[in-house]
Amino acid sequence: MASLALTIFLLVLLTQLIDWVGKSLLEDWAFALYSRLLISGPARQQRALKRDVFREKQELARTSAQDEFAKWARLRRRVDKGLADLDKLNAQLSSARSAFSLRFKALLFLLTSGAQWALVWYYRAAPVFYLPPGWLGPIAWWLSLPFAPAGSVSCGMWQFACRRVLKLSESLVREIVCTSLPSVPPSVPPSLPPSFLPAFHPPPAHSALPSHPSSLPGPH
Amino acid sequence: MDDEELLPPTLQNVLDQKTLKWIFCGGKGGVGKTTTSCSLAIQLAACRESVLLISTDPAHNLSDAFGQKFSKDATKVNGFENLYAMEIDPTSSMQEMIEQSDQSGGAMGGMMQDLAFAIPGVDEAMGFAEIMKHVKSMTYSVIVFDTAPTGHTLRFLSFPSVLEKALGKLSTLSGRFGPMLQQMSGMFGMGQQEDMFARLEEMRGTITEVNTQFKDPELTTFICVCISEFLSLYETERLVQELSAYEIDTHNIVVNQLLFPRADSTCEQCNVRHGMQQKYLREAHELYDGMFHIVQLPLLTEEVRGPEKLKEFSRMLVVPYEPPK
Repeated sequence: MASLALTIFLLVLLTQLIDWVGKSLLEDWAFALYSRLLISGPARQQRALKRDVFREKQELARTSAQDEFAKWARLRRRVDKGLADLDKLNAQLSSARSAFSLRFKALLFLLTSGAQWALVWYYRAAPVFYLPPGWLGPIAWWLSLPFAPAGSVSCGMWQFACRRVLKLSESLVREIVCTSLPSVPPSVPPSLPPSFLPAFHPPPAHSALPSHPSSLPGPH
Repeated sequence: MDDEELLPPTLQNVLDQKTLKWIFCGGKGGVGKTTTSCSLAIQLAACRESVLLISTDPAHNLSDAFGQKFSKDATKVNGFENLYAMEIDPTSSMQEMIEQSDQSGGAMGGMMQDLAFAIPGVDEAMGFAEIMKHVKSMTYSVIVFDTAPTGHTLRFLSFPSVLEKALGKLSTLSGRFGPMLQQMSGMFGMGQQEDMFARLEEMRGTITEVNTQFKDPELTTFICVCISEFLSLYETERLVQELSAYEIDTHNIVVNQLLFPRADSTCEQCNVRHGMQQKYLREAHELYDGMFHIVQLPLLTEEVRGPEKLKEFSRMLVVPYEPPK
């Protein structure tokens, strides 16, 4: 049953990956792709219209209403019309966006949590693998919850274990990265304050001193 | 601009269009709306059976222009056979209506009324609807409105759709809570809101009907009055845009108070101002030629007051003014 174990692990990994990247970011990318491929008409129109309105607005600002009223009024009419069109287009696009967002979220759910649940439920009575008897002693029955045969690891437990491991490794990696990155700069600041502070604030030296060591960050 | 494209610079087109029932004169304050609308009414009186001139401007100028006191009821204008005039203040007629119903209704009726009148602009529109009902029962072949400065008019012209929505809500409310309210008011000895809703409904009907008439270019046209100055031209452009948004026909612009100093005039102000006016006039021609009749009226050396002077002035709406050489 190695394939079942692998499938569940991959599913959990996928969910976790999506989580790491961020759902909203993914949605943005997907929508950008979607609008480029499938509704390119309105999106391109919107870009062109925005550019036009912007250009006309600039021209309007350059035109003196007093000296060239007719030209100014014509420009103004065009700008107003452009803005109205843009509003309409924006509303259209944003409704397309919200519809897309709904469908995209549903798809993500089906691919991740939904698929996991379905799998775990479908193979609820199947063992993922058997533990060597007597390994964990009394808590072995707990690993086969809810319906897997005694002495085995159930799908639910396997999924849970995978997720835990991924999360732990994430925090491990994060800790390593975080501590290894800022460990370079702190070597400089500690040398600065002792030479600086007394020079600038000679009288309150004792009051500055006690607070000083506590304000120093991590390297100790 | 090509000369062939130029529409004749007169209001003859309005006089010739016999289907017209409603004619509005509108523009910023102080540009000569009243003079224009009076002159137009006088010209119309010469070629129609009967003409009614209504001022909805709270600052009533008709009385001033004709030198005769007008009231809320149509009064025949002295010196004319078929020209009538009336002055109405939409807001005050509304006020009267509220007071009237307050007397007949109780506290509950008053509350519901407050609710209904909380709709923005409802007072004006209902006042106007009231006028319309009034006017519709009378038989005039054409009615000229001397409207209040720009914003006012447009608000009421745009009103019916807002009112439609609000009243629709209110009447569902009345359907839901009506019975309860009736019981309560029965307890307190009042029974007005049914009556109130019926009246609101009726009002809505009137306003909607009036509005469809206004949107028919065969029945209604709007004459924009302006002077040859930047702000006035700017307001006119806005007015034209808004009117087209409300689908109200407009194809006449009256440019008023144009200065034509004599060639040997040494009046510095006059000459400078003449130059400025001509500049804006050129711009107006460039912008509106082809779609609008642009009528030019001169600034006279006397005030245009009284029927005789108005009659004389009104001729310039039909025969273009020739500046003295």
